[in-house]
Amino acid sequence: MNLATLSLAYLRRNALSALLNILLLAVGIATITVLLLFNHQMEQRMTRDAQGIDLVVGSKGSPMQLILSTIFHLDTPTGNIPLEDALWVQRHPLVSGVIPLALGDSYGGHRIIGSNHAYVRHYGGTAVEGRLWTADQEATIGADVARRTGLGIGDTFHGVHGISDGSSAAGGDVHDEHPYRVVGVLGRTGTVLDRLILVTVESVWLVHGHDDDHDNHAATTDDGHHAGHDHDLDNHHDDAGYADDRWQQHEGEEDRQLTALLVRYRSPLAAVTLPRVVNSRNALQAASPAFETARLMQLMGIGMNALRAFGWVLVAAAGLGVFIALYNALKDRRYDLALMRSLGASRGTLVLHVLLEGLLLALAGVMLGLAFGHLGAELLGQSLRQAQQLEMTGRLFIAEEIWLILLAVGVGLLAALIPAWQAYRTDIAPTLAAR
Amino acid sequence: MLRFDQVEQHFSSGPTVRIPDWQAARGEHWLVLGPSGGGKSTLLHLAAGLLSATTGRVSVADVPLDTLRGRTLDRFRARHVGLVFQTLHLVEALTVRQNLALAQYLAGLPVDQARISALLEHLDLPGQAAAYPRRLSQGQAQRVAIARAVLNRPALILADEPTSALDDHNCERVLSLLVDQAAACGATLVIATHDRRLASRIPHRLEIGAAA
Repeated sequence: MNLATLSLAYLRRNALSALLNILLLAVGIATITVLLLFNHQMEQRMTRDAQGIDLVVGSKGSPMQLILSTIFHLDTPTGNIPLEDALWVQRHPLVSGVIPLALGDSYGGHRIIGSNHAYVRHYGGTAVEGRLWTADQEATIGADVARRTGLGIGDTFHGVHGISDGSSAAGGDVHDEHPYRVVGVLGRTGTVLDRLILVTVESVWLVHGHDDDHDNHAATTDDGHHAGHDHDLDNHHDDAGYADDRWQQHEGEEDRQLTALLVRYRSPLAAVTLPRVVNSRNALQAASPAFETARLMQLMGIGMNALRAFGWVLVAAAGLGVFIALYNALKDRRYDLALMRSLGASRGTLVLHVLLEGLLLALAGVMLGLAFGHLGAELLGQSLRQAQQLEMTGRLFIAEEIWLILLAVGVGLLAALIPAWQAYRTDIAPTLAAR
Repeated sequence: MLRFDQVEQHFSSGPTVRIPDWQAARGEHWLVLGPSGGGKSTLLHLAAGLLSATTGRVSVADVPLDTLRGRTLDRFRARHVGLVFQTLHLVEALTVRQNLALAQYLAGLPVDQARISALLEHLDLPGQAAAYPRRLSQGQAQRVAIARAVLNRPALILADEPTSALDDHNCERVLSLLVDQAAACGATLVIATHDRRLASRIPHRLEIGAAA
C-alpha cells in the first residue's frame, strides 16, 4: 500500500471518467507530437538538402519555386537557362564552384537529373552497388528509387517527359529511343539524392533532341580548363576517368540549356554582390536557399502554429476535464479524506494523494498521446513516402517531446491544485459527524 | 490512560459541551451514555484529537493532546487510538485487505500482511479479503471496521454507537468482538452509545448531557 496504489484505486473506481480525460489529453498531445515530428524532420531534411549551397541560379520566376524545384525537387522548375549564361556564372570570380542541373524527365515519379559527380559528392553519396554514371545514357539511382521501382544493375528504362510525381502513365511522352541503363545504386544518404535518378547532363540533352558529339567520351575533358578558378565542385576526375566539367565542353553550341546551377561562393562577400549581378542579367535569377527555406518555414509556420494551438486547446480542455473530474470526485470523497486524516494521514499526505491522481492522469494521457503521435507520424510518413514527397518517420524521439511531457504533467498538476487544496482543508470531526 | 480535565467544547452553532472531569485507566472498558446530541461523539472526537478542546485538557497515555500539533498529532492518533465509527467509513475504492493495509500505511507502519490475514481469520472474514466494501453485509463491514481499529494495537479504542443499528444477536457479537480485541491489545475501550443493551456487559459508565 502506498499513495500511488491509493490514487490508482480511486482512478479505477471512476474508470470511465478517467479514461475519457486520458483520451482527450492523448489526442491533444498526439496532435502536437505529430506537428513536432513533422516540423523537426522537415527542417532537418531541408537543412541537409540545402547545406553547402550558397545560391541557386536559374531562369526568371519565383525564387521559392526555383529552390523547391532544384534543391528539394518538389516543384516544377521555372524554366531553363542558356549554357552561355551558366558558363558565365561558373567563371565568375566570386564563384568557387557550381553543380549543373538539367531536369525535364522522370521515371516512375522519380526525377531524372542530369548532373555531374560533384552532385553526389556534395551529399556524401557513394555507390553501394555498381558505380557512378560515366557515359551518356548510364544512370545511377538513389536508394529509394531502387527500392520503389525495383530497378537494379543492368536494367534499362525509358524516361517520361515531364517531372510529375505520379506514375509514368500520368506523365508525358515516353522517350522510347533513348533508354537508360542502370550502372549503379547509391547508398541511403537521408537527402534528396535518395529519390533521384542521376545521369550526365549530355544524356538529358540527347534525349531531348541534341545529338552529342561527346557521347561516350567520358575522359575527353581537359583538366584545368578555367585557369584561376577553384574547381572543387565541378572539375573532378574519378577513377573511371569521368570529368565533372564535361558539360562545359559544349560552349558555343546552340540551344544548349541547363535548368539551374547550384553555386558556392568564393567568399562571404559574394553574398552581397553576386545575387544582384546575376539578377541583372536578362535570363537569370538568383535565389538564396537559406532565405527561401526560412521563408517557406515561416509560411508553413502559420499553419503549423494554428494546428499546434489547436493541440494545446485540446490539452487545456483535458486539463479542465481532469480538474472537473477531481473536483467532483472530491466532493464524494470528503468522508474518505476525513477518515484518512483520522487514520493518521497528514494534510500534506492528502494533498500529495490528490496531486498524484492528477499526475497519473496526465502521465497516462501524455504517454498514450506520444504513442498515438508517433504512430500517426509513422502512418503519415508512409503515406508521404507513397506520394514520394517527404521522408518522415514516427520512429524518432526529439528533445521537444521532453518539454511536452513536462508541460502535460504541469497541466495535470495544475488541474489537481484546487482539489488538493480542498483536501488540505478537510476538517475531520465535522465531516465525519455530518454523515 | 485517558483523562479529561475541565474540558469544554464550544461550537459556533449549537450548545457548549461540558465533559465532566474523568479518567479511564489502561485496560478499562467504559460506556459513555447520554441522549442524542448530548456530546458523546464530541467526547470521542476530543479523545482522538480530532477536535481541540476549547478549554481544559485531554490526555491520552499521559500525553496532553494540546501539546501535539499537525503531523505529530496525526501520527500519535494513528499509533495510539483506534476508531470505530457509527457509519463505519470503509474506503469504497479499496478492498477489505487494502482498507486494513491503509490503516497501517497511514500510521507510518510497515504493512503486515500476516497480521491482516490473522485478524481477518479471527473475525471470520477470511474469504472477504479481496472483496470491496459494497459487497459486504452490514455485519461483515462492522467487523472490518473493528479489525481496522485494532490492527495497529492501539492503547485506546473509541467506538461511536457501534451497535445502534444492529439486532440483539449482532449487537452481542460486535460487542464481544470489541471487548475481546480490546482485551487482546490491553487497550482501554470507550464506547459512546445510547444503546442500553450494552450496560450489562461494560462495567464502567459515564453519563453526559448537553448544557446551555
